[in-house]
Amino acid sequence: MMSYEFLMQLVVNGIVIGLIYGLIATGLALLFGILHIVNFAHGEIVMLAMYTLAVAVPFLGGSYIASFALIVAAATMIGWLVSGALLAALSARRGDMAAFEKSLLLTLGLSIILLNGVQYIFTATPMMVTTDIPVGAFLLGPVRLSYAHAIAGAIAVVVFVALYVFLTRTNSGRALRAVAQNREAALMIGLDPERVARRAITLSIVLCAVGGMVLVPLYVFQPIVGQALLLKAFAIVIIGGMGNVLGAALVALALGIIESMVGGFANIVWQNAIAFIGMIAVLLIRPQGLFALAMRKG
Amino acid sequence: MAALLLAIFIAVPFLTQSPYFLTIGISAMIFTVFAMSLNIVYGYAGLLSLAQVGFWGVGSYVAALVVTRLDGSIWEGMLAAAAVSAAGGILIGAVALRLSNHAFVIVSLCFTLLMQMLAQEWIDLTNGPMGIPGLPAPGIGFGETSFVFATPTHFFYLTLAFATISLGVIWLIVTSRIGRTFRMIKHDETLSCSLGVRVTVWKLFAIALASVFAALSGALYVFYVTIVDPLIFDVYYTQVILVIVIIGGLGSFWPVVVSGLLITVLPEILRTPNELRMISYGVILVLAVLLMPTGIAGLVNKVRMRRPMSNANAAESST
Amino acid sequence: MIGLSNSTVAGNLLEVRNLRRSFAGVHAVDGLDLDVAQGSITGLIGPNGCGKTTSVNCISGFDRAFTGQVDMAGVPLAGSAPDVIARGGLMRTFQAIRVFDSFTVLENVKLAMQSFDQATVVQMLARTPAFRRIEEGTEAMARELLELVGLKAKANDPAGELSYGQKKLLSLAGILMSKPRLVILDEPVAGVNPTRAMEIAGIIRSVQARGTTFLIIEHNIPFVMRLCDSVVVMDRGKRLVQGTPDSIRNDPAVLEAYLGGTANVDS
Repeated sequence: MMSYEFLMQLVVNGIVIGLIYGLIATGLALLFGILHIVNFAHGEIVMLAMYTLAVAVPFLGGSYIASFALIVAAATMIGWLVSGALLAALSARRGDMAAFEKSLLLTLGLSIILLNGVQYIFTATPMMVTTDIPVGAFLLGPVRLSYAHAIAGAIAVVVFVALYVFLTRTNSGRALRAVAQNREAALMIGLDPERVARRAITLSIVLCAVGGMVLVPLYVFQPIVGQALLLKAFAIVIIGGMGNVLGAALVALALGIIESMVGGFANIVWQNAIAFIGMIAVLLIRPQGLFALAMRKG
Repeated sequence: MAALLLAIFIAVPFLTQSPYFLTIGISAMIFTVFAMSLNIVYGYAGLLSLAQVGFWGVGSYVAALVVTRLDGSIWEGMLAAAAVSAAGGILIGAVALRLSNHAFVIVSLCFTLLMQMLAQEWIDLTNGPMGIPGLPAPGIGFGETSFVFATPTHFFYLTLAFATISLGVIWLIVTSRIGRTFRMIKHDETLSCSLGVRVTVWKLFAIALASVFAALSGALYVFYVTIVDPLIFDVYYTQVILVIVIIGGLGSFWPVVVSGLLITVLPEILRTPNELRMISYGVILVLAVLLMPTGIAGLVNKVRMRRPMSNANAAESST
Repeated sequence: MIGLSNSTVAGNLLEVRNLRRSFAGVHAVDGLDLDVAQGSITGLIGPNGCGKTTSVNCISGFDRAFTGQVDMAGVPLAGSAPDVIARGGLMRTFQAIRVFDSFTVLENVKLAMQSFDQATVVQMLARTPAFRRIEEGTEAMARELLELVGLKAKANDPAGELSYGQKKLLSLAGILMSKPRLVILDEPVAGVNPTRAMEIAGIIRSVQARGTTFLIIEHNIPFVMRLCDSVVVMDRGKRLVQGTPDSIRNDPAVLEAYLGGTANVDS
């Protein structure tokens, strides 16, 4: 029989995983909500951050936090540069491809290049990174929370609080939300759409990088890791309502917990299928997503 | 065009008995049909589907299972593959199109990834990562008079027959009023709707048609390589068919056939290692989208436009 | 108050009752009643943002999130999909002009007929003689309509190369192909020069003479006043008044609501 303690353990693990999914999925929701584009290389950016961390940690004497900070800074810079290039590519007028379609094909190509590039350099051998995070766990009553899980959860919570404050309390954050809610009106009150778009892309990349880095101490990983995460991130975004950042975060948390429970009681096939089944169910019952404010069509 | 290509392909085995060249020919033909299936749904009907690889894989598993588990023939297997994929396509399309064409793209990708996971982890059915090896060579006939396509030359002609019939059927459809309806929908759904076109029905038809040909080509492919495993769902295949269709020109027929044959043959001859080949496909995809999104068909049209256009059918026949 | 026209006598082809549609709490259409008499040309006018286009979207099924009753020839349309309504004989144009740019002008007109003839899928694929006869009939009809709208010379040009006004004529020719019972035109002469507006009015009259009913949304008041048998004035999501052009012209409530009482409606 499954005990209460076991159940609680599953919930705690699920919360941590859900928070990490949240980091990855909110980035995707942000892109769709603000730019109406999609990033198929989203998972590969997560993967790239994981491998970069794996390379950086030995150089920085095993320090997880130092490597983490360095990579966040690097991701911000790279994100800003990439955003400029991406916007230029999307706005170029050739043929009659719409921005969504173009973004999809470009990032799909990019994802293949990144995946195989990393695989070529590091091979597909599973990678394990030893950091200075001590092995051990907090004991919350009968529930164990390993230090690595605790750090991952704490970082995610801090990032979410920061993201919330940014989106609701700062001018640039409000500008992002304004564009997401009503593009025309936002342009009329003089917001610079390119600036807003570049911020959104950069933010999305940084969120990805953080999501990837907190995964490193928890799992052994391969270059293919990004693909599975992308599937879940997409499902989360559809379930939460395409483009709805808060919806994505909440659904991500729920998915983490449900997956953890299912993993505890049933076959691993079901664990991985949950996201897809949820997505299909939502499309059948409430196609605009659980948290959609308004129907988005087209 | 059709007769010329057919003649060249019929001649190939007379010129070379080398299994290597025949293999390249076989995969070129299979991938051309596979890419054309994407062209139906994406190029003509305007629905970017990343489920094509999913159906190609589902089709190959269904056919393999029918043969190995149910003792069916490969033809029964292919029939089952086509039926299962068409039903699956309609199901996924009906669900995803409720939201939007954007949602369809995402759901179609998720479907493919999920199928790959199932193939890997539903070990009772699929044998997991080991796959189902030792698929028998296809044969026809009854009892004494049966004929087995065992040699590369035999399989080459079998594939040629498959490709000719498949492309013939597809050509018949896309050049008919049905193809025109697809193009109307791609061009402007709202306008099509206002003119009484059953938009969703035709979209689902395009999806079903595309999944049937993806499944059939997948089934034939695994019987050629004699094994099916979860790698059949590899994103590599998505990449290849997207590159073929975009380089050929979305919604064009002959340019996509030419591009299909070229793009599968070239890397074989260049013999690059796997990862580098994949990277080069990625680079080609990005460059094609940035530099020539209308593909070969676009170039051909441009050349035609430069000449004084007297023939009103010129545009028609190229598409 | 409502000046009922002769529409009730002739019988209504389209009857809209208590149509309501709101967006995020704002009532775009707020209890609209509308009558379009069989065989008439009915105009729908009103200040910007009074809900004209929203009403048309609801009537033609493109917007189904409304409440109220829409009947065409006694058949309720509310809740039906736009393509079903179109096949039922109600065709419309769009304010933002829509044509199939990559098809030729002639093909554009023929495409409009595709959902209306009885060709089966097998016939389409096999291209049987019967099917070819259908196609030939369609082509002859399309050429006739192109002649009517004056685009005969452009038949083999890509539709994307037409001018704005020509595209309006083309879309009009397209929706006439299937001989609809009711045609709704959303701003047929907006952005079109006066000569072409006259031309369009002539086309509408000649099609009306063959028994087609029109509902026309337009900002060009003189155009509406000259062309229409009955005019509906909308204000703030409802019908302010419906009547003959003459009765509308002298209605103080119309002057008040529509023009702030400062100008002559016939200006």
